[in-house]
Amino acid sequence: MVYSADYIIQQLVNGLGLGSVYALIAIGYTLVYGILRLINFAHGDLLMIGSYAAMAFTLNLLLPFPVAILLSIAVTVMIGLVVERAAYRPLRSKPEETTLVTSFAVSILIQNLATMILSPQPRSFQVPSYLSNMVEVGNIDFSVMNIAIIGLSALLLIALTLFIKKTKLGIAMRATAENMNASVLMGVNINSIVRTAFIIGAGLAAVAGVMNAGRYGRIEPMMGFVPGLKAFVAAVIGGIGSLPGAAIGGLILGFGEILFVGFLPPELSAYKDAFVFLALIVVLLIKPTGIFGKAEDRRV
Amino acid sequence: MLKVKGINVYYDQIHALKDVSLEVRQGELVALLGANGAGKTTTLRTLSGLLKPKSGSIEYMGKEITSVPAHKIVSMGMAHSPEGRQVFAQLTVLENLRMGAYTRPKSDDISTDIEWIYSLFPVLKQREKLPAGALSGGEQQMLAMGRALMSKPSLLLLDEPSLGLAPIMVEKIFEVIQLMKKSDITVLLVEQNAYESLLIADRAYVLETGSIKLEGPAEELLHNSDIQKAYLGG
Repeated sequence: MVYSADYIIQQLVNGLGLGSVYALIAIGYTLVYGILRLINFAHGDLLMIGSYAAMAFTLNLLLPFPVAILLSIAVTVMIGLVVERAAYRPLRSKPEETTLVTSFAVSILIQNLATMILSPQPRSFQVPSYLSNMVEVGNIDFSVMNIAIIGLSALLLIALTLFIKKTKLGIAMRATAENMNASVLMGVNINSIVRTAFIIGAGLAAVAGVMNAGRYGRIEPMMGFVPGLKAFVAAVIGGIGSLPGAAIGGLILGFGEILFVGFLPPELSAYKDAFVFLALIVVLLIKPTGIFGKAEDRRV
Repeated sequence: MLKVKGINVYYDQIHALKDVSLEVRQGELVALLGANGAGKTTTLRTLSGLLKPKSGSIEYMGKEITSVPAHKIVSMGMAHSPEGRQVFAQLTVLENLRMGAYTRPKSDDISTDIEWIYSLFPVLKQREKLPAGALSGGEQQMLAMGRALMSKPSLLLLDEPSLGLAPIMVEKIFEVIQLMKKSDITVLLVEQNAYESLLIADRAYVLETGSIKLEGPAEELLHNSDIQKAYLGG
């Protein structure tokens, strides 16, 4: 089979779009893990909360889409903070397995509450027409939605990098991720660092949730689970704890998935999720710490 | 300045500090000596709030600080340069020093203090942009001390600053410790290097299996025959 250049370019842009969404979600995993050594499996469910909130603000309150996104970020961040305070902080000094299992419990709780309150029926998610249009460049049609996703994700990643590299709080976050005790001795309040990580993670998850909902045009209470799991895989492939790792891991998965669907025989495309986990196994076999990960040297 | 009264500290079941009392007065350089596992590091970690005593009290500058959370203690004027240096390996030398000034308000003249640290340890200026993990052990120790000093402390807790360093580095570190007096910084120094410490200290305490066994002016302890046998090699 021969593919036209146009088709290839279109698929690459699709891959970049999907990869950006994974990257935004993966950052939430990696930030929280870096500081607390907590794998927060409830992180994916924040996508669902973000997109339902955005729908409520646009459909019920008739707010403009960008305003709805900002408000849905606020709602998701609030819920992220409540989860941290109620479920994870009391377990701060407990072993990693305890918090891991707790995060599964939180995830199941959120999904079931959402099913009860919001109904298990999928709903359609409308984006404004200026986003659902297509633009034609040369012979290729690009969806505006996809371009917006790529642009906004790039912007958010740059802003986050500057925050982590340059600001006092960002430097303190890196210091805390490396050595919590020494950071306390510098006067760092660990709770406020943890809160910051959850705020950033939840905010990005809300954005990713709206993006995902916009791509597929529908939302349902379990919608966060699969992208959440894939983004976790992306974070592990990139090296969990590493920010560039999360971004690169997300892009690798996004490209891989689109190429799998777009270029292999259609019979295989049902196995695209299997590809994700195959990629994880291969990376872990070759480099157990992930692409950007460093071997841990933790003191007690 | 610092009054510790009868503190008892446990690690789970292990009774690590037993009724430890000690005092550090304004302007002094006090050494806390003892063998491995005697409780020296535990004492410092308790003073800076990382560990909480089960009983007893710690008073600093006339304030009871026994239950103050660790991150609030540094802004009260007590800085702790921890065991094993614990510099932030992935942060640059400059970022490490800025972390030392974390609790100080933006309006403070932090760059002047960074220059002061560079004048104490000129090698740090040359390494300014390097990650701290790329520094030698001695340079990391200088950075750890510099980082602690960046909080402008009145009391500096130093945990084994000479451990594992080449003799020339040990000399340099002890030189800077002696300089602290000139900057009105009181020092509580934990050391295995008992001889060097007693030479520069005003007073000293000796810890043995979690209890204070001896205390007195450094001069006196230097000539004490028990100390000579146990810590000074005859």
